[in-house]
Amino acid sequence: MTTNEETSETFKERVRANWGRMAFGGVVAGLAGGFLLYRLGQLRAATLVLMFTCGLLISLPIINVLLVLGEEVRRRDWVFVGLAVAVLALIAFTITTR
Amino acid sequence: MLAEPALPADFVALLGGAVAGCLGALVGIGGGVLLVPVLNSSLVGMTFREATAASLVGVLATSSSAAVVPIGKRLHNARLALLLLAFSVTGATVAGRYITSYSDRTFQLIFGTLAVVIAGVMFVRLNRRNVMPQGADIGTLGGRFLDFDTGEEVVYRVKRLPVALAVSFSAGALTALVGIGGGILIVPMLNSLCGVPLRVAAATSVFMVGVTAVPSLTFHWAGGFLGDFHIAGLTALGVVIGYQVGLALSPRASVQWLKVLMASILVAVAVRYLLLTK
Repeated sequence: MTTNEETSETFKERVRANWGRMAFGGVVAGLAGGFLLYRLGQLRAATLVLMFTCGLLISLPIINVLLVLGEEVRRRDWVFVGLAVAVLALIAFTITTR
Repeated sequence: MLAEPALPADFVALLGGAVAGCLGALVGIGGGVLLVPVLNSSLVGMTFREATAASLVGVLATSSSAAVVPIGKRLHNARLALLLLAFSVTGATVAGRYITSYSDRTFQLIFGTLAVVIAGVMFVRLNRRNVMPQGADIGTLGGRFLDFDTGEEVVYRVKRLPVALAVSFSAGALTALVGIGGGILIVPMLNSLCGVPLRVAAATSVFMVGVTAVPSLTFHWAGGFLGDFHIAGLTALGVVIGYQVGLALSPRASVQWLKVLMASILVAVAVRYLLLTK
């Protein structure tokens, strides 16, 4: 028997998994497209595509931490909410003061 | 700006990324420990700092590849990862400010020595399993999961937390300084010292290394070391392909075999850094 809570968990997991697969697909497409443009001699376009893909790769772990933060907020476990916020704040500090 | 196309270097970067990605899926290391020496070799021709930056792109690719793991097979411990990340990201943020302050040789010697120590610990504790009786108290950071090898529920509790926090800080610092990802420290530490089963340690490490690589790569990018996006992109492409191969091989790889493989890699890395590099 499936409860409403279990159904909700499954839905969230599927949303998270589908988002992850889409992002991963974007990374693969960006890397392959950048390499193809490079082999075709389109060096400037290849650089732009690969730079964008690097930016996407950097954003994915940050979004993963945001997802964990959302999960801990839902559980109302404020210690782990604080930890997630601290990690995100450190990364933001690094990016803004590099 | 990109250099003129050179196929042998392309092939080496792609192949190195594929091997690193495969091992990333099997033993939970980010692959940087293999990528840096490959990219820094005469075959690819990158400087050590450029190789470090490109390796960090590969590490991020390993971490993003974990998104395609089926939901039921995701073993990472998100709470434990979050706690350790607070320390590893701090380590990366502090150390990243010194990426140009020390010689490459200094870091190679430090890392080679560390690799020998970790490999020794792995071999000595080869037959040790970090499993508790079912129904045991797992604490705040412990967990339970279904072991595909035995079909039984595995219960574990995290031990020696201060050690885990200290090693995570060091792993973060090394990620920023030499682009290794940190998994090569985090997985043996979680498994051999903190009582976390190897598969959980590997999955947790893959989650962690991606986040830790973000501030590290930011420093290298800002410092101008991520100049050759083409090689970095090819390496990352190899990583995502290799990771899928590793995932396919994973169900057939036993925990003990994974430990032997990992210790062997560590010995090879130590030889590379301590004996072969002048």
